Amino acid sequence: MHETIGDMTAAPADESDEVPEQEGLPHLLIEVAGTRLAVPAASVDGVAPYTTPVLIPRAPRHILGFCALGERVVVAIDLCPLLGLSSERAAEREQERLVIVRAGELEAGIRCDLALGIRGWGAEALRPPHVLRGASLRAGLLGEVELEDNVAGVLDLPALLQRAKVSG
Amino acid sequence: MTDPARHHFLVSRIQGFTVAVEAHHIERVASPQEAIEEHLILDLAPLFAPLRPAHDVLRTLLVCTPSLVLRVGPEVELVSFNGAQRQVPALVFPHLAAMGVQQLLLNAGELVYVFAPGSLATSGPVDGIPKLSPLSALR
Repeated sequence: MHETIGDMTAAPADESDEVPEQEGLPHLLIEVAGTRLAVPAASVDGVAPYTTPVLIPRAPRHILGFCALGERVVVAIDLCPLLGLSSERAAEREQERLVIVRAGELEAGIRCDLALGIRGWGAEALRPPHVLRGASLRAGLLGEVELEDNVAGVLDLPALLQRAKVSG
Repeated sequence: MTDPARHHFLVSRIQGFTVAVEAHHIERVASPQEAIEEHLILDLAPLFAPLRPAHDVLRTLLVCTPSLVLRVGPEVELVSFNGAQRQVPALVFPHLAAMGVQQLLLNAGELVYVFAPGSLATSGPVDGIPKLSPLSALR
């Protein structure tokens, strides 16, 4: 039911028809509350349109609920409270995506305003966060990379999903 | 002929959520007015919406084994599912397991919270939720 990464890069209207050949480590670029973030592509299981999730009782604010993707049930999470980002969303609802990611035994769907496609860069491009500010945000990043038009924070998925995990 | 792969559940809707208990855990379905003094009772409504009181006082009682009564929604129906049970995702498993939710069911796109009365009877519900109490305490 959900799109593969390859499908996703070709499908959205805001991308060119040709997917440029990428060098280095591939990452999926996303945008959340105006902040550009990157997810290692190897940790991405798929991308699906975001639909209103089924609420989970007594869950913290960053847990949006369950999303049913075909035969699969994924927990949708909101990075805004986790990373201290503004919760104002500028994107049109139909552009919102759920990016399904996995780190070890933990799997989640990250709600994002836009999924911008795959980009690659070498390990040397990753630098400590400098442009991106905020203790919560930086704690969720491996670092940041300079792109032609912007700076993207590279998510530290294992640490992020551990923070998102709800204890009993 | 009974299909062993099919699981039978008593399903109810409460506070906007759908809950289910496997039928073999249920001794019987009792009316809301019935006195079941010798049993302990757990109201599922505050589990799902602690800040929203359940106005419908006439809610059905599911008499479970061992010696536990679950107070669910007004309506209860017997539903059978075929292999539709899903594991609760690890991200929220400790949270829901502490509430007594054992598994999820995905039935025609609807998510159903499956409760395990056995674990509720031994461990009790999570903090901040009314503890098991005699039925008479509800009146």
